[in-house]
Amino acid sequence: MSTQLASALKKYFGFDQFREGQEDVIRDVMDGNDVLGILPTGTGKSLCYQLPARLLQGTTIVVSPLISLMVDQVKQLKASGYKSVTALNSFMDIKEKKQVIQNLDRYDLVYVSPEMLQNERLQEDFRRMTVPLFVIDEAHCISQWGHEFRTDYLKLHRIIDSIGSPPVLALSATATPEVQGDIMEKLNRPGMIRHIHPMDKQNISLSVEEVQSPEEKTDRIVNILSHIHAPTMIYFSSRQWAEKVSFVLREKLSHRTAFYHGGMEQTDRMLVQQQFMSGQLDVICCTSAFGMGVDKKDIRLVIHFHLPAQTESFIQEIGRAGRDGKPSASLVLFTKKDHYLPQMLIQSELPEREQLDLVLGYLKRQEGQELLEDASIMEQLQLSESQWNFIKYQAEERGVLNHGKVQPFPMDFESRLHALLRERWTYKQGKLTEMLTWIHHTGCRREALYQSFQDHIRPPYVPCCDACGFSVNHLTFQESQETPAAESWKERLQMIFHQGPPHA
Amino acid sequence: MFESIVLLCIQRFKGERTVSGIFNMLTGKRSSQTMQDAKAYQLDHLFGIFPELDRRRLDTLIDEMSHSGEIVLNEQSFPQITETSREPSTQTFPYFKGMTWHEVVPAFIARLNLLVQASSNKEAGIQSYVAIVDNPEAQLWVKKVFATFQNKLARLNQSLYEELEKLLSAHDPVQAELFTHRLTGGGWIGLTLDQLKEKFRMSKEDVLLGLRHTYYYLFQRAKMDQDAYPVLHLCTRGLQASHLVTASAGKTYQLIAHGLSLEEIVTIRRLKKSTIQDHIVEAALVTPDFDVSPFLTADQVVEINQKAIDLNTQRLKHIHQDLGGVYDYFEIRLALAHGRSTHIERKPLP
Ligand SMILES: Nc1ncnc2c1ncn2[C@@H]1O[C@H](COP(=O)(O)OP(=O)(O)OP(=O)(O)O)[C@@H](O)[C@H]1O
Ligand SMILES: [Mg+2]
Ligand SMILES: [Zn+2]
Repeated sequence: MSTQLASALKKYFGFDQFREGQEDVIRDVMDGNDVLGILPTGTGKSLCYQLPARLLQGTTIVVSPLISLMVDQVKQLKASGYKSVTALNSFMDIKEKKQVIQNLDRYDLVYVSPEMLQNERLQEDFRRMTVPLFVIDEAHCISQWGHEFRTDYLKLHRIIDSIGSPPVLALSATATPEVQGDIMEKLNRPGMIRHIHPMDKQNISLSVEEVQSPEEKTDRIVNILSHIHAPTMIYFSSRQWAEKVSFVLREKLSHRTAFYHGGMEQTDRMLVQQQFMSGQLDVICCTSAFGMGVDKKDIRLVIHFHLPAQTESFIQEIGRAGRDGKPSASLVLFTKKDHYLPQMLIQSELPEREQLDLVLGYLKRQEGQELLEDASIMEQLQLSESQWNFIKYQAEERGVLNHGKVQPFPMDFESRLHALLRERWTYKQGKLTEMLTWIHHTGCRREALYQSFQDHIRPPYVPCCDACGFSVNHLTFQESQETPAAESWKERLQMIFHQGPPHA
Repeated sequence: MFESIVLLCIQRFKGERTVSGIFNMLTGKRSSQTMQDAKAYQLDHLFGIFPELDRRRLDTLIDEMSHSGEIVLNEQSFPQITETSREPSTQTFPYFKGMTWHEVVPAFIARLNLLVQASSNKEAGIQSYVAIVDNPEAQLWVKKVFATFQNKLARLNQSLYEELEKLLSAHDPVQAELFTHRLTGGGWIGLTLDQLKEKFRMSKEDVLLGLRHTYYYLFQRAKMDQDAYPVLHLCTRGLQASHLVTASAGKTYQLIAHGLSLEEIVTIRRLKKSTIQDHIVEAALVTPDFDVSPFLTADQVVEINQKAIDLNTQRLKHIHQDLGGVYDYFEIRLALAHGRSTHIERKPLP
């Protein structure tokens, strides 16, 4: 069996051997088991279903929360010669969608967004097909304890059952034991075989430095980068700061620097991403919008200008570094006031008590009527998308919303909702506190960071952390190669079309 | 370039249109008002050339220009040029022809960008890459081109290079820089708008317009001369000039052609009379042989047009008053529209 899998790996993907964890997961999947796979970022989770999809009879369905990610993966697969794969999402134009749906069973692998999957017609189509495997990527989204809770994910178990209960493979990079349990419970598959792999990155040195102000953070970055030339990511939680710091860096350093955030135009986002991937940029100042699905092997340094609201996000973000296994480093810069920003992020995610009362009052007045579209409700009641999703999901679960119509509230609906909200606030605050505690931790950072994910921390191949004597001042990466820039439009045109240098 | 274009709009509008009028013109709003304005004020070449224009940027520019005395805001706060205004320098954008081509230029841009990427990557031996253009139609189109030219792809690549080189050599050099640095292919990733802005020290608007103008240039040259630019011409195939009439106006026009009266059409279409009148004017604008006889005689059309020329205005109110209130606004608009589409002889201004 294992030689068969290995030769299939070679044949379809050109890889000589499996990475840690892949083979075990694939074998259990091929045997028709339900599997929960927790494999670190960048180790190749996608392959755990892409290979079985080629080998199994029928059409494997993959639910993935990020459309851009899905589309990227399909493009990559197609580029590598894997043609019978497609992605269904709401951004496709109607003609195209129709064409794909009509021929669904011809595909080995169909990516679908959770929203699309709610579509009953599509479920009907899936019901008629042979589905040997149902994959849930980024499965932590199903857990309300996870860092990216998505209400659409909670409905997955019903959909899976309605299309004939195929075996399920749930994948994630960061899930605490608590979240793992929650995933199995929400999917209603208590018997899942778990493959949990260590999170700790043995090739990443960790460090945290306190400064007095945001300006000082910028100065420090300039100072560090003036003796490091290597692919670097700097994470921000604010778009303005990402832009601002990228301007300063461009001014003060010779590094090729750009910013990237969700507010940019689509083409420009792609261009920046591609420039970074192809080595035409050294430093990227980005928000968490960048990174998901970015598979650049040689990122040497990840700097956090702002703190994420929880350690799970942090672990995922520093996991962008050193995918080639070579020595890399993480640096967090913080000031005493830095808890405000993540605090605000939490606020925009969850409704506050007064907001909840406002919405409940609104729903009561709408009793017996059709509810407006999400967008108009969000606008009318001044709610963010995730705030409204939270309430809407609970209302649907309790039957207050039934086929878009508002029903009378069950007796304890309001009090339970308030209790739930309190619980979520406490939880999120707890997560943030955990992150902040880690920042102020004085012992080994590696142990403190990974202790809630795994029992045993492996010794790193690189200097461990600032508590154990590491400092980014010791880093001496000199890896970026300057790509020549065109002098004139004629030269640029020649470079693109490979007409050789102008004076050759 | 942005400033010159806005200044040109202000000049041609003669203080008779609002800032919104300018915005609608440049972004190509499909309303009968805007389309009529385009013809009336000879701004049809700028119709729809700047769909991504940010309204606030336009407002800011107008503010700046009026602060610096370049323009004034008249009593209705419509922008107007002054004695001291510069003559807008139109020679940097002679190829805009928005009314005719703005609908198909985006398809041309998508095809060209994707073809350059696919073709130059092939030449460079790059097999796996992310397509720079997400548009499925353009992707399909490039696939077809590749299938057709299977064995001649190297030649296609060479020709595409030479065609671009030749056309860009005869083009505005700054715009040629913008264009080539925006392109992706052969392992080189194009620059973002921000990067272009910074590299060439230009405003975002000038970057966008410089790029857009270059595509208009390439498109029209290639469309006209297949022999000289075979590959670029391929990118223009099937992309036709548009005859702009809103769908609704089209229906009204059909009914008129069937000889129905205005009142009958109002009843049948259940639309307001003023809306139907808008449709008729719109249809008259773009249809040279439009029959105005149910509404006006040929002499009346001439009289109204002559008055507009004499008064040097497109203001309905002035024309209405000066003709002693004999014609209503609909009749005046229709006469002007018809006059324009049939190019009635205009006496030169005194
Ligand atoms: N066995 C293998 N040998 C070599 N490379 C591999 C192998 N398996 C996967 N890869 C490569 O590893 C890279 C990362 O894979 P993938 O995107 O699936 O990671 P992931 O675990 O899903 O990461 P993330 O947590 O960021 O989603 C890909 O470029 C993939 O081609
Ligand atoms: Mg993944
Ligand atoms: Zn340590």
